[in-house]
Amino acid sequence: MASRVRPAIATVGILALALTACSGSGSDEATDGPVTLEFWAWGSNIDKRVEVWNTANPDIQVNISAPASGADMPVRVLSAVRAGDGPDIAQAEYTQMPTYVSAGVLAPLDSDRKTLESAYSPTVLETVSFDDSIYGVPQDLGPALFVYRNDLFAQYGLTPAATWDDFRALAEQVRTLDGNRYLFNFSSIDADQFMGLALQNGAEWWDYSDEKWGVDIDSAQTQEVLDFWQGMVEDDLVSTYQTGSPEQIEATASGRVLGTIAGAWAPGPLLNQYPDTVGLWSASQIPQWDTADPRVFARGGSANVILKESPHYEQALEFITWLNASDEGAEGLVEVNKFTGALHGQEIDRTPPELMPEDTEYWPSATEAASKLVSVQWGPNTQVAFTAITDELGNAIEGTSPWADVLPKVQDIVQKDLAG
Amino acid sequence: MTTPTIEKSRARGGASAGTGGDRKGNDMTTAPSTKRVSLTRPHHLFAWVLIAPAIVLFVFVFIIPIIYSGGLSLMGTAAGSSAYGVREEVFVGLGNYAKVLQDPTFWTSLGNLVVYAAFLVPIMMLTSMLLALLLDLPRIGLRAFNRMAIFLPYGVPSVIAALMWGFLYVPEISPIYQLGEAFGLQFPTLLRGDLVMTAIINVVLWGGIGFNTIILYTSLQSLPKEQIDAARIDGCNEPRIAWYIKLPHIVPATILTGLFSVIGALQVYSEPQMLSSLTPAISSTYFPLMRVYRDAFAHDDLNSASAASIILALATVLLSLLVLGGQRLAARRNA
Repeated sequence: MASRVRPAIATVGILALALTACSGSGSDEATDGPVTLEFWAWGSNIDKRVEVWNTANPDIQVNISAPASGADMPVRVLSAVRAGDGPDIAQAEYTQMPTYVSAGVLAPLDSDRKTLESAYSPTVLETVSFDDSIYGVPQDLGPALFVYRNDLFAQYGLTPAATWDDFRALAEQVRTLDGNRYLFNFSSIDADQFMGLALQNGAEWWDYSDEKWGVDIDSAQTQEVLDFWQGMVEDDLVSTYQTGSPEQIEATASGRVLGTIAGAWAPGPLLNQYPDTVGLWSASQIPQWDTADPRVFARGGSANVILKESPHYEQALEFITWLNASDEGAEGLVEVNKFTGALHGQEIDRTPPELMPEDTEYWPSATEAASKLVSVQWGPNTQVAFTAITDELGNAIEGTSPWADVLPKVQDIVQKDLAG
Repeated sequence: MTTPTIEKSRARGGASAGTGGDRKGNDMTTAPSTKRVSLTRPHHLFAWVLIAPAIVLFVFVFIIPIIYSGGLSLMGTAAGSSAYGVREEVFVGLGNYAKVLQDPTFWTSLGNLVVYAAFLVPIMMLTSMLLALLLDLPRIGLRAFNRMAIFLPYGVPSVIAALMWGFLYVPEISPIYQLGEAFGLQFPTLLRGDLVMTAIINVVLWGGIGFNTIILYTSLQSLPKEQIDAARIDGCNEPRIAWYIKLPHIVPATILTGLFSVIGALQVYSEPQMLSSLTPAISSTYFPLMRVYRDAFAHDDLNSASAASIILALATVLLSLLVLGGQRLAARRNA
């Protein structure tokens, strides 16, 4: 009998331990004395800036961690907040801001409005403003650039395309080269890029008027963009590897794919992923539909937001204002290779990115692209549109459903989701 | 002269434990009376103490979550008062269920699941049976090594297996494709278009066959040796022994592992999810569970995800009951 009791006691004991462990992680932070801010961010090198802050501010320590990156972050933050275990500050991509705002988890930052208005251009501040309140402090911008292998372009006598027609002609030319090369890789997973391409052509996917959301994804402008890429894919002028897959990485590393459209942040990740290609890249403005009225869309770029539940609103605001909006902070971000949202960071002289040490034109190109950014009205369910675009574009590329179905289906999904 | 009888009784004991044949019926009729005698009150109380941890765990990690997600599935969100106003929680009754059932992607994902299971389960079971019978042949060399080699893939976590196979599927980096090229062979690219289903099935088969083979092989070990000897004396060769003696013996074990395979097939998630990062051919709604994941974790729509999960759970339970009921019916007809 005793031999049976012991395991039972052990089980009860373990269970008790497990239960107390679950309940033990409540908030027990003291309000006096030094506070520690939990900061969830995936951006590269931000930890270096946090170190600088922590050394100078022993009373407000910041603990940075990356529990998720990019697209997975909002759900991570939202579920943590609902469980009462959320961070004080989080990094949010501009496309994700509406998700946070309509989930009601963000603290409005209007108390800081004056500082922010002097640090940012109105269009940048617009991207973090919802229902007339500011909800984020912009960190970096991702005005799109065509980033390409200058060594291969020179070797084959190619020049970057100014218009989308040129782009197609250039892609055709690249296909005639040796080594099965492509000008560009078109991946269905880059839904934000597809949306950007549509925006560039004048599409407006969401519109709020008369207290109602309208969805206009299945529009003539978006269709024109889709038709263009359908032609490129069907005529085998672009590769369709999944972004981030071994195929795509191999094709970029070996120079089989010559270029990409990336945000101004591109040099950082490219350097991390392809360290052997330093000095082999250049950037130009993206192709246009109408060169008389050049328009650029943004890829990525993010802001820092404060969670409503945070007991340290004041300290958190002080930190993210310093990190992103102050002149010192903007200079620091420039040092770690960010293209800042803050005007000061865009205006100061800076050395070329490590990836392209000779390219003194890189940052001026980025600034030029940023000046042509189209304004965007994000819908409250941008994420739904993005997964729908990824799925439907994927089906079309793989030939499992017709290209003509892409936009009607996405329109339908987004509309139904908004209807609740 | 004593060894045969010992072996006999051991073999028979094993057989009844393994298969639950006609002897089980006798056990069932005698067991309750003996139990009633032995279960005095102190024992009763102590039994409750012993199973309390299990009950507590069961309630906390099973019953309460089910009730919770049942509740979630009846709630929905209404648009906020302003453009980005906070979406309010409202009671929508069975609205989420209706929405899921009306969604064409749900039915597409179910269709994919049916195709997947229809190929996976038969191939898995037939291969496992064949391997188990082969392992059980007399005079098989390296039996322990073979058993180990067949079982080993089961020990590889499905995420790792999917990653590993994923790399083998990508023509540009796959040694298989490179080898094929060296011999002038062009293998089809499994990760593109509709062929991606075969890529998924292959990964799951690779991981699952070993487990099922071992179960069936173990079940074969409980077959009384005399039956095989008798068949051999009657002139049966190995294939006939396999067909007339061994196969009927492992039918119950096959049904059980088959049922597990069906349930496992309905829950397929990690393999396609991993492979989806390699190809656009696997959409976020390719299988029902991937769709649930997308709703819950990409769209932050726990309500719709709960409704879909409950529909799936009910379907799984129903299917299991049907299979088990069918099995019982067949057993009764045979008896």
